[in-house]
Amino acid sequence: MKNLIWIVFLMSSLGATAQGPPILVEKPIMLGQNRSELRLFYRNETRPNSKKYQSTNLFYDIVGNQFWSIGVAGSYYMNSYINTYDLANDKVEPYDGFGDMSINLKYQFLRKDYVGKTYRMLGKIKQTFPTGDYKNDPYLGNNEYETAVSIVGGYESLKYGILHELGYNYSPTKEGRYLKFDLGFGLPLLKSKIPIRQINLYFEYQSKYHPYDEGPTYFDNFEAYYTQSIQFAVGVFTFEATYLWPLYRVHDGHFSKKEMFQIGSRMIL
Amino acid sequence: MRYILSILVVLLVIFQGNSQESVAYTAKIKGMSCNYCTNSVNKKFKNLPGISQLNIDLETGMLSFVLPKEKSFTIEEIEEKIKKTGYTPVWVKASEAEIGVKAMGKNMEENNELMTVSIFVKGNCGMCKDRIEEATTKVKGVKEANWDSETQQLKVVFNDKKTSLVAIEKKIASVGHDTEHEEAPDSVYNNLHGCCKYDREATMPAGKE
Repeated sequence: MKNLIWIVFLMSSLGATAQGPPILVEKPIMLGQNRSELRLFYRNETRPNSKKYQSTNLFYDIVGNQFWSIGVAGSYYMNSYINTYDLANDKVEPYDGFGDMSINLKYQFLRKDYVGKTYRMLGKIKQTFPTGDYKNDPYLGNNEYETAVSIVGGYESLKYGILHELGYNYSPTKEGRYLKFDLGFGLPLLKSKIPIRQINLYFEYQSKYHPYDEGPTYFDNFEAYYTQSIQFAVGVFTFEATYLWPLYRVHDGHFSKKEMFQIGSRMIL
Repeated sequence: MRYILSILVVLLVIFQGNSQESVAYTAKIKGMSCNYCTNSVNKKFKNLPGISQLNIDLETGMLSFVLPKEKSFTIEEIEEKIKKTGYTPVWVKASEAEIGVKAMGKNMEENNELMTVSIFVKGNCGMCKDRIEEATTKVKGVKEANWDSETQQLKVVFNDKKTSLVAIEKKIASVGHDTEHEEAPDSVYNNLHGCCKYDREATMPAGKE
């Protein structure tokens, strides 16, 4: 860990300028008129109770301008299974299927621009549809129509970016209701130039608090994760790799994670 | 008669090719903090018909480009285009430039890239003139520079494939002289000779700001 801090410190002292879009935390900067973004990534995750998931995920910001945007997200799971080898020396058959789909609506309501830096805030509504398979275990969806509202903010300068999101997820079942708080820090490693050639590091923190869970203490209803990502940007493309570690995870909800690895790319259209 | 008509047609083509008026735009933009921001602005402007010399500097927020006069836009239209990319225009300026083709044949392509532009540069005396012209001609691609202390105008002839107005103005500012879009560092200005210390608060000539 100490070595990692030193590497980051040394790299940041090289005169870094400008970063790309964050990996897991929502970005507060809109793409502008007639622009959209297509994002495709592979995710490999282990959830509680030895559930293994591999998925291909698609995010598509379909339409928008400098103030608002509408996007859709979907996933397809491959070879998902419950690894019961340790318990019964057996393994159930893996299976494939679609996960839940969602629609995102974002509206930017605050913009403070300066030369080479900006602070922006936006409101976001995410509506999730239960399109994922819920008949087989491990479940590929949540089997509920869920609505999440959040406030996203971010300060970005030529040297670094700080991003945050505070929101609430509503589900008809109490177990699916939670507060979320995400925080991201982006650090570019190369000087900015056109055409774009950039390497960025992202340090992100994600947390959820489940107020209706019946844990004896606050911390029993809390989960927090740290993700380390590296991003390589070339022209309108970015390529990203992310690894997630649980920082604190007593809560064992369906979407809780024990570990996660993700690689992907995105393209600005 | 046929020969006369042919000669007239050739002369007409040469005449049309000899003089093509253009408008050089410069703008300062706030809010761009990453390469994707400059990419958004670049994409918005690069498809404008006839655009050349498109240049965006992330660190200074400067945008510059040249459009043929017949395809030019008003300042307000350019501001609106910048706003639609999601960033804030601080100011937009336009000045007429002339692209001259001095010869036909082998040298035509090379000369076609020569552009003559006048820009405002603050200064006082003969020493200032030497310093401004020397700094300007040191920029790769600049063919000629002539600064007039009366009008404070620098007439510069340069190859638009090799350099840009932004680069030229940055170079001039780096030796201590404020230009229309670039401010000289205080430390450099303070080290100028006494007679060269121009009034930094003086406004630009009417029509320039």
